[in-house]
Amino acid sequence: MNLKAIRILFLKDLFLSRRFLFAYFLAGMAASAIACYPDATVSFIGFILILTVAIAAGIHFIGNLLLSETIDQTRLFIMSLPVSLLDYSIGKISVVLTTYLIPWSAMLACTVICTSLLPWAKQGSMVTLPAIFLFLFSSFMLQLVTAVITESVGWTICVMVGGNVGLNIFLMKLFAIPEIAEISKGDILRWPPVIHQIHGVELLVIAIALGLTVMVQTRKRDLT
Amino acid sequence: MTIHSWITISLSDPLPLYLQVIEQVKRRVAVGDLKPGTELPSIRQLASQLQVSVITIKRAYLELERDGVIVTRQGKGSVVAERPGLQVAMQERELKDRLTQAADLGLLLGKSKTEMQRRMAEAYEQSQKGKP
Amino acid sequence: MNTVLATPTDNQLAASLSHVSKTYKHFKLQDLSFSLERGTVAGLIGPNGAGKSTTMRILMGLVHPNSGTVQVLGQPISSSQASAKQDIGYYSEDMRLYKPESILWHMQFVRSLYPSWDDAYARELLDRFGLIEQQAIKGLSHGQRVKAMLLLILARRPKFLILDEPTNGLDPVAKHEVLTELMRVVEDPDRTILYSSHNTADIEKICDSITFIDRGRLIASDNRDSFLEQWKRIKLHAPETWQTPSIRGLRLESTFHQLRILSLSHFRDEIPAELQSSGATIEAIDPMSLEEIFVSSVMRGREGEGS
Repeated sequence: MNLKAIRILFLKDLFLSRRFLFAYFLAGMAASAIACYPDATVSFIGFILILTVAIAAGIHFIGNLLLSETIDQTRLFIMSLPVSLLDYSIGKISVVLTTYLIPWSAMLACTVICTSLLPWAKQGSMVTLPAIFLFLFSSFMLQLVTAVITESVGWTICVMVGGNVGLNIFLMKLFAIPEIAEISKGDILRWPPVIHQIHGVELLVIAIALGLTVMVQTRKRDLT
Repeated sequence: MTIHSWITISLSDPLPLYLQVIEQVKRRVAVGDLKPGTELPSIRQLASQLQVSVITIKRAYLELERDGVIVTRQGKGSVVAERPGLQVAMQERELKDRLTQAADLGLLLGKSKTEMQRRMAEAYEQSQKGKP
Repeated sequence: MNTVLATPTDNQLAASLSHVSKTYKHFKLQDLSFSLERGTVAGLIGPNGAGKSTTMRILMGLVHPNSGTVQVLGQPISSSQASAKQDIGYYSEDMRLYKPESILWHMQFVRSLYPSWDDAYARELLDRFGLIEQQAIKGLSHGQRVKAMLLLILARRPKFLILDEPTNGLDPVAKHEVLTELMRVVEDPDRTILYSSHNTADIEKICDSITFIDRGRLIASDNRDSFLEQWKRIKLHAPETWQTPSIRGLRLESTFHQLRILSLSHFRDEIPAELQSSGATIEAIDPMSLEEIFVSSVMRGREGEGS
């Protein structure tokens, strides 16, 4: 494993996606700001925008950084350079995660900060934030592992669509939990055990998906 | 002027590439363009300049050395042999080759020796007229 | 008789494949064994789909063979190894650069991975190839793109170049520019080129050895002169009833009344006499161009004769 090569590949991909990264970051900030607006309808729109930015960023970076290199044959160019498959895989997975997590964490942070500071915001509404953001992240991770296994845009989009449907069901079920519904309307932020369980499951999904991604990608022998 | 610009080789020529190189080097010596002692490019340099395989130039140089046209010094490349009468020898060789070709053709066409002698004289006179 | 190349020892080899096989769903590379001497230009020829690209990818460690061993520059090669690739330059038509970025960006990117990058030479190449470093890849013509990719390879002065049809689609000027630079590599006795092309004339001119692959199998691998000198085109006159004698490697190419044109893949001194005694009169025995050899070999392969 050559750390220098990994770093060079990582920075290269970061550079190539600089414009989109910046755009998603800005869009994410804007969405978070809108979500913290005092008006319920506007705030709801903002919430939808946050989800949209997260989902779009996910599929965009997986598509542009990972899948397109396979389709575009730029991967062949990279593998003709003195980098091992392991270097390539680690660099690639790291940068796709990073480019996703930048707008993702920006939105999470922005939403938390806005909610904490704005006088009209209900502190209790933050109880669902980690769960929702972790759900988005785990959905992203499932898309990533699909992309790495199938190397197909079609299948990855299928998983994305599945994830979106799943998200809607998740939100419905989440707010149907009486404890959660109660806390989120209130001013006091509490963390009931059920929310920890949900976080646990999500983190487990993320860990398994990540493990599978690394395992599958680094086991590939033929690059063409 | 460098040697490589004097040599033109072509795949369309029926003669194998290495023979084309040999012929042209001998021609240059015969005509006096390549004087005894002149340094020749290394095998690889000439291969690169003419855009032909190294193996072709190697073979050409080997035969040129065998024929006494060039001399290869250990580690110092090749030079045109500093043999007195080399130029004349090359000229004689070329003349002999051409005459042999004419003789072969004459035989193939069924010409007699006398006929060939007459033709040679005729051709010589024609050439004389053409020169100032 | 050609003794210009003595039998190479292992450390004189740039690369060698030994009983390499690779199976795909619709194609099989079978039991491939050949070697390349250092300091030579090795030509790789074969029809489309013969396995040339796969062979070159195996040499580069991009494809993992199912069996057999591959050595490049004295080291075994595999996709887990990056160090061997430090000294190898690989080009394939399938390779692409990043369209939105410039040639200069690519140069800086490649330079960061190769200590052997020669910046002065890179600038010379920009000039010789007529490329503008600030130009984005998407704005380049096919020929310019190929030259840009070759520049990225040549500027780091690799010891071993694996070039999969580098002159495909190039106009004559661009091709001349590329071949000129490739032949400069030849000036260094320590550097080797493996070159594949459909242009048999180029291969015939610049290659020291020729390796011929068809349908996943090795047909021949020999130094250029030995390879070419074994093949002859024979023109002879024979009565209409005359049958082609079963001499190994002899194949009838065409007939025109009494004139027969045959190709012979393994010339022996006794063969003209054998043909005469079969009732034919030999009109001419000539060498064949690489293109003719190539076509005849492939035809034979398809007829199931092998060559």
